[in-house]
Amino acid sequence: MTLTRTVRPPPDVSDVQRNAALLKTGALQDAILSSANFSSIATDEKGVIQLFNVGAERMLGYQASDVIDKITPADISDPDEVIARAAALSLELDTPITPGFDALAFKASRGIEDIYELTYIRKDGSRFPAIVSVTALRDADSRVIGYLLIGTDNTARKEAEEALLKAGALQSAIFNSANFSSIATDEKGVIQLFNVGAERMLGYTAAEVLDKITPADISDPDEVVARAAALSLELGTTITPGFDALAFKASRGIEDIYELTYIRKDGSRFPAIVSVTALRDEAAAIIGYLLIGTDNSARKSAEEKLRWTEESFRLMVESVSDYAIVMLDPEGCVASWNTGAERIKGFHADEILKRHFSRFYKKDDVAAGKPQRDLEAAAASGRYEDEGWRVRKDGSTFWANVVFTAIRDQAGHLRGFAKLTRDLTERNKFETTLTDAKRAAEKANLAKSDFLSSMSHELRSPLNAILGFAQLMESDLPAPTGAQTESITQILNAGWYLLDLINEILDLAMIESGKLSMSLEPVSLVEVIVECQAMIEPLAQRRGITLEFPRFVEPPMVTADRTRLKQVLINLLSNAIKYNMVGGSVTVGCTSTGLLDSVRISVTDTGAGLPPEKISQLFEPFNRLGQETNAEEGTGIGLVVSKRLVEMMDGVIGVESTVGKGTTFWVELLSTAPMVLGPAIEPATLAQIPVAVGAPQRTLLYVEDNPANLKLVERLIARRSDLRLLSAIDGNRGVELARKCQPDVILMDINLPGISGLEALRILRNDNSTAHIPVVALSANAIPRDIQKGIDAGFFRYLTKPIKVNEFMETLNTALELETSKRSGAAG
Amino acid sequence: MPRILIVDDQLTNVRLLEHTLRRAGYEEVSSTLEPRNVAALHAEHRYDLILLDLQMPEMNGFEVMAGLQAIRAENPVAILVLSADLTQVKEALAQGADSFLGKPFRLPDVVDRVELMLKTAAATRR
Repeated sequence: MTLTRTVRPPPDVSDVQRNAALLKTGALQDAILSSANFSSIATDEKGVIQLFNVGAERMLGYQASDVIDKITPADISDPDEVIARAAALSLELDTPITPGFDALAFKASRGIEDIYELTYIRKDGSRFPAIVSVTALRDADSRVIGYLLIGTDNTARKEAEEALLKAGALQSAIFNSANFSSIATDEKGVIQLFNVGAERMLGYTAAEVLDKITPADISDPDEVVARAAALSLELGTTITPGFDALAFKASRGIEDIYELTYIRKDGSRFPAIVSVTALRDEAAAIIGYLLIGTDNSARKSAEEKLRWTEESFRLMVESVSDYAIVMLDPEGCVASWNTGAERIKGFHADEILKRHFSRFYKKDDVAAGKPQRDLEAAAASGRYEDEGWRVRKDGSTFWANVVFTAIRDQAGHLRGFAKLTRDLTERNKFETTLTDAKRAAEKANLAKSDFLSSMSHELRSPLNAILGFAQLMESDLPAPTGAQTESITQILNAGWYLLDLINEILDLAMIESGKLSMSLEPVSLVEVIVECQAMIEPLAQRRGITLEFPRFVEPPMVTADRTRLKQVLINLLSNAIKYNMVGGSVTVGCTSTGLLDSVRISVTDTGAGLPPEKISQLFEPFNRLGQETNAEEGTGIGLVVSKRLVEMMDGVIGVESTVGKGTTFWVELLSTAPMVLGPAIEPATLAQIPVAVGAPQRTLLYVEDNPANLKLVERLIARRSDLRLLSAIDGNRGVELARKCQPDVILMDINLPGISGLEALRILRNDNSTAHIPVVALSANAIPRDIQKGIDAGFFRYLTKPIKVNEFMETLNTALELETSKRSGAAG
Repeated sequence: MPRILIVDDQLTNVRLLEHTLRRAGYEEVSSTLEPRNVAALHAEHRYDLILLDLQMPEMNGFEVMAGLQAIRAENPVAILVLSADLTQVKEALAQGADSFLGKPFRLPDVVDRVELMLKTAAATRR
């Protein structure tokens, strides 16, 4: 602030003189007096205001007429400040100065230059800080005739100072920090300030750079040139490479932060992030620049590393050609595309990026909403795997295995999906071919089985007529002649043989198609052998072959299907009889082998024996031994069927032979623990049972669903003239029949269709009309626990199949006696 | 004297069974080659036993039994199924047959079975 300090005093004290004096102060004072930016207040020697210019009016809110000749400047000043000033001046000048105008003008009155800060109070009561300069106005004799107080509004400067004070702490912290390089330059860019951070980072001391170089001199020159070129282009004006390139934007008031490579004193380089700010004076004119820089090396190197990792990962993913690796955004649009995707699906990356992935699906899948469902499934569980047809660019389809993986950020928000696709078309084709081949083979095998099965049935019908009429003729009356009987026997033999053949073919077909069911259970070998003996003896007798069966000390039990085991043994026995020498013998053996706890049943003949090459063909279908000589009938299938059956019973079949001596066929089956079922069974006596003449006829009801069992009982009962047989095929019919015809004894199977034998028994026991009838259980179930259960349930006796004739007959007799005694007891 | 009906599409089988049963002493034995007529024939003649073949081209034995089902309650009749297909035993019994014999059969077996069934049927009706 420049004010004229030497004011020549006016010649006298009159107003005219004062005005004249004022006028003499010159053009500058004039300017000041009439300026609206300065308050100019002139007073008389007492301080009463005589002049109050427009600036004063503007600043203070008073009209000149409000104040002239009325108040002193002290009246519009902060009274406390006036008091404080008076006290301070009294102290300073060692003379008492009264608070009031004196306090404002005393120094000036003593000729001392006086500029001070003061708070003026406006007419409205508001205040503002002012800088006030006071000058004494003097007449020609240098007597004080008044005072001139020129004031400026100091509000803006005050505010700026306060702001600066506030900002100061931060700025000085930044400035003194070793972590930031703070470089201040003048407006030309010459470094004026170089803080410790700059020294540390750049290796220069402040003294080496101050007033010597610009920041451009310690920056990568190529980058500076490039930046100048880029800025020239961007801002449409020519910017010279040099400091301008670094500060131009800041000079235009544009915030500017950029990356730049600084060069250290030792020539080494480091990446820096530089923020540039223009420094301006009060008039906003640029007086310099402040460049604050941070060392970006660490971040740069981390970025580099990350970029490298990302790049190598990207390259890896891109180069995989066996798998399509595709990123999808959360909506399912393709975000990345690798070589494998291109190879498998046929799209180039630029054709498919940003397109929805549903185009890889078949139309009907898209229509059914499958693409969206797949994404939802992946989003729901994190991973979703699918296998199915997908579509290539050219419309062709391929069999794909697709794995979707949902990708979420740390906050759990879905960011997209990774989709891995494999083309399994080839594998699928191979598998399909394999499956088709297998299916075709199975179908062919099934067709063969079906054919054989239906052929078997077809053949049975005409055979039924042949055998049936031959049987009629055989037993016709009058009886056929001897020659006729011989012919009929030939027809019947051939017919029954043909039936065997058909049965064996059917068996083989059933075995091969897996339709033959086996029920493996503990089977008493003694019982089976006894039954076989009964069945085969007539044949042996006809052929004059001696049969030898073993005597059992301890009855062996084996795991087998009873019916099928019998079939196997009959086959071996009939072969041994057929292919034997005249007057030969067949020996049946039964030994337990240490191996695997099994039982070996052997059938040894005294036939011609078999050379090794024949033995190898034995179990092949349709390789009937002895066919060459045609000496004996045989299907050639029997052994094949036997082998399969034994294998299905987890057993082994084998043969040993010596040419000229004989052959032994053997079967090994797993042995099971012997059951506690009473003494070994004697061969059944099939002789006619003697019945007392004139005994009353009794009725036996047999409830049984199996025709074979029914037939056997029919045969047994046919031998007893005192018994008549009734039958029912299930429990309900059995109960109904029992109520209606009141049989004397009931024979009940346990495993019946509908209600079981046990249930039927319960009903019979609870019905007064049937409660008295003894019921004998006849069951294939030989498990002791079940037998006990049957006895507990109220069966008179519990017999197990196969039927032991003597036991069966004795049981019937006992039951009938009991019934008789009951009846006579009731009658008497 | 029990009334017996033989149902088979093959004349030889019909003849064979007729001969066999007549020789066994059954006099009221009639037969048909036309399974469609069975229900009507039974309604008219009220047989005691029907010998029924299963494999017949126009109408098989199962269908015949189904057709008889409605009138069997009123006119009870025992049914003996004769079939070359032994695998059909269970099915035949489940569908209404009272007994089953495989073809080819031994003639005494047929006679025995017929006798047993007629006895049982008579006892039921008593």
